[in-house]
Amino acid sequence: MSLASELLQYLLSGLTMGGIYALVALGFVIIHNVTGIINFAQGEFVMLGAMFMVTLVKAGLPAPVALLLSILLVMIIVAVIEVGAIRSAKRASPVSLVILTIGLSTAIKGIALLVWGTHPYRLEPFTKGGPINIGGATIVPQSLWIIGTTVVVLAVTFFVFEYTYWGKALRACVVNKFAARLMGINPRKMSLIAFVFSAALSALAGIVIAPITYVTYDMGLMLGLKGFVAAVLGGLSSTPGAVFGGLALGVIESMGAGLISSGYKDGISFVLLLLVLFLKPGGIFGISGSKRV
Amino acid sequence: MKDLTKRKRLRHSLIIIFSAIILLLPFIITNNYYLSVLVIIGIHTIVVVGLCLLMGYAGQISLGHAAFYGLGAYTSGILTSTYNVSPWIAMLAGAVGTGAVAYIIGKPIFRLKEHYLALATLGLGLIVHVILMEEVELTGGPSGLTKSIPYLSIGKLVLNSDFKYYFLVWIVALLAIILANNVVHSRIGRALRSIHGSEFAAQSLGVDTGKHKLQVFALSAMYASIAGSLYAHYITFISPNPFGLMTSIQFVVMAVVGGLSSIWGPILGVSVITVLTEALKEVIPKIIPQAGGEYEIVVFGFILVMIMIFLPEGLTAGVVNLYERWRYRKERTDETSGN
Amino acid sequence: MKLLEISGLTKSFGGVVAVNDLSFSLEKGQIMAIIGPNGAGKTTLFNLITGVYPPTKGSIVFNGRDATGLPAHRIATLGIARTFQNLQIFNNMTVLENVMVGQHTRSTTGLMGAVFPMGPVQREERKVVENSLEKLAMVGLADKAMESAPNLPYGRQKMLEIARAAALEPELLLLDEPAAGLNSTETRELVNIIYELRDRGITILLVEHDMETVMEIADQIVVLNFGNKLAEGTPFEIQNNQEVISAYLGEEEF
Ligand SMILES: Nc1ncnc2c1ncn2[C@@H]1O[C@H](COP(=O)(O)OP(=O)(O)OP(=O)(O)O)[C@@H](O)[C@H]1O
Ligand SMILES: [Mg+2]
Repeated sequence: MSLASELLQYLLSGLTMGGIYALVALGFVIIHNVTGIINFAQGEFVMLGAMFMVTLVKAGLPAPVALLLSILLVMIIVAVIEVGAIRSAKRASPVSLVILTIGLSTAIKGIALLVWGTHPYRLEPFTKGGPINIGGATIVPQSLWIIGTTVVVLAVTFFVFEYTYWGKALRACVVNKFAARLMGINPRKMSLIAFVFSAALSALAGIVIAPITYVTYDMGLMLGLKGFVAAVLGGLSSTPGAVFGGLALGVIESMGAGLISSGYKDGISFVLLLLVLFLKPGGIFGISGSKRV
Repeated sequence: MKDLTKRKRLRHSLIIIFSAIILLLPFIITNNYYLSVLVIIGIHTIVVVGLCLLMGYAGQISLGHAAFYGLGAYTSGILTSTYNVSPWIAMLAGAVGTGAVAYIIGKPIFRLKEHYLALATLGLGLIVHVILMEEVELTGGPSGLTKSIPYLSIGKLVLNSDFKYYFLVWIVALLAIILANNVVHSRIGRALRSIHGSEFAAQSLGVDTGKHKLQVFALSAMYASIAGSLYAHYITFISPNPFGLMTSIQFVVMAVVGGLSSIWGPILGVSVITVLTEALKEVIPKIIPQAGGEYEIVVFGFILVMIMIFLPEGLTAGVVNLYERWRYRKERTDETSGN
Repeated sequence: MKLLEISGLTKSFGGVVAVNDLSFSLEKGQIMAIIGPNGAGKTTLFNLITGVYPPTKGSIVFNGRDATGLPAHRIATLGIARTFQNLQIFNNMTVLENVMVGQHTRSTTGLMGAVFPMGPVQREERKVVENSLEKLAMVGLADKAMESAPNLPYGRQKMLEIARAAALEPELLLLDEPAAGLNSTETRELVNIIYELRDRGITILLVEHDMETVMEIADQIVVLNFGNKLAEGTPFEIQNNQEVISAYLGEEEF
């Protein structure tokens, strides 16, 4: 393979993973914007989506039905978690909330372990067919599904935020909680919606990635963390930032793994995270955050 | 002034009584397995005492303390086994080096908001773990150091049994508690607590909040490093496994379970969690035959969630609160029945 | 000699100009009062002087040194202390510890000293306790030293804040509405404490709505209205200033 096609290969696989990261990052950003919480359990929503999908498909449901049902299940579970755990701890300090979501993450992972065990599951790709050749690089059809899904979901998300009542209400909550309440928007309900919506995004990410990876009870951790890094790269409060952050992270990681060493793939993301925190605390794509008094 | 000395004396006598109990324990508990659990509790206590200083007093969370723990362990392990450096010097080198790493990482971070330190330490933890896994020539990679690590010795006395090591570990742990206690009741400790009370007022009195947070962060990293060194010389073999994210989370759980604002919190938290973990290792395979060690995380998760919701101040404060509520209710019923 | 010189000081929050092109100066040893209706910008002025936020324009010179835009903790080390309009007591500490934090800049124990409190550190700690107790005695709280600060009644908490600020041993002390919420006995105590502080060589700048007290103790008064300086002068001059009278009457009619 020539260097050019090799680079193209890295780019393509980078964009594939980047799409996933972007979806997870978007979930982070939505929750963080509306509630101020950094949700360390985000990755588990991804894992749950993938696990339900695998289980339902194995149970004989047609893939589209299984997909919708999986997302729905994750949304319900997250709604229960929001009402049962997050809401009752809302007055806690940010540190306590971080610990709480870590606890949730661990508990969800633990339950998944009990239900599904430690062994990895596989999911058939959405469409059959061999790898496609693009300019010397190859790409499996599932990658196209991932990239396509990401694009569609992002478009839908932007539409929701810009044009629907709930989207506007969510944004109002971000700008000013107090004013939002005056306008009759209930921040409690908004928090629930934010959690459920971002759970749906993450579950979808888990479902589309399932065919190109092993589905295990602990897959959520790394995906969640990467989504987190992507969100920080994007400035933690900007939705387009999260998307760019995700894609950039995917590409950088894949280039780094290909050109430097695959063992250091995860290391690269976190070195990037530290660099961004040090040099551009507002995120690469974010506006530098100004202190509020 | 008199009150002040009285309080100090009370604090000191509590510490002395507790130390006496700790140091008598191995003469009562002679079972080697129990002793080894107590040694591990001691080692973890050292880490968690430092973490509590950071979380309870500087109000910052670290999700990377296993990395500092690992840096200590590997510095000791590599320097002593490969380069034949004296273990005590290696331990010191580990502590100083780890403190420096924490300081460098912390310096830019403490200008940012709460969440970011959690993130940066998490990132650091993962990077350290990746390095431990990948730098095979230096660390032996995933399977660990190939050469065995020597036992610690004091003069001619080689600390090669649980019984002997117990004393070393717990003397260090008690020292760690006493020194942390010194910090809490010092100018620095007051400054840190004042930040919790009112950051505005603290700054208006000249407290440079970022600087003190950073110092405590570095100190807590050094604590973790020393604990890591002690761990390395106890097990005499190390691999990257015990220094990953799960361990970091486990330290946080221990700190939170014990409660962050008491010097006794760490011992309580570490003991509860360690004993629980050991018990689960016994019990779970009996209930679920195919189960491995991973199953303890279910319990961890639930404990964390429950504590954060019902006893956000941890067990120590939680118990005190419950007691006070009970006393209050009793007083009220006494009053009403008196009427 | 001028201790504090404010010139052209301006602060706007979005559209609101809270302090507008304000200039005045403060002599060493003076007691100066800032008065003005609610929302006039008095607290904002204090926040600017003490570095809570930087000014939009203008400069603050303290003791001949430019202090504009320094962070709050640096301002404190220059020798400016303050109290707050809405109490900022450290609720997680005892009364004594609150005041001991006030001695932060007057002590030097670093992390090493904190970990290993050898002789000098212990001596310093004793000194800090002594000084703090002395400040508590000054405001009549010596017997409450070991109590938990939030258990004090409101009026005592205000005194505690003054003691804490005094523990910084500042050259300039800013008091934001010290008499608000105090009964007449407590107000008398307060006046005496302010005189005591002045006699110790501390220059005082205070915001106060209680005109009787202001007219009694202030050497010099600055009147603010909508962020602008309306007048400046001795209590006698201010009481007879037509503009001030109409601004206040206007407010009362409202
Ligand atoms: N942090 C801030 N952000 C936005 N606006 C502010 C801020 N602080 C003060 N203001 C505005 O600046 C103006 C002056 O407020 P300030 O608190 O200085 O008044 P004040 O003279 O102290 O009033 P009072 O007598 O009620 O204490 C007000 O209109 C207030 O709403
Ligand atoms: Mg005011």
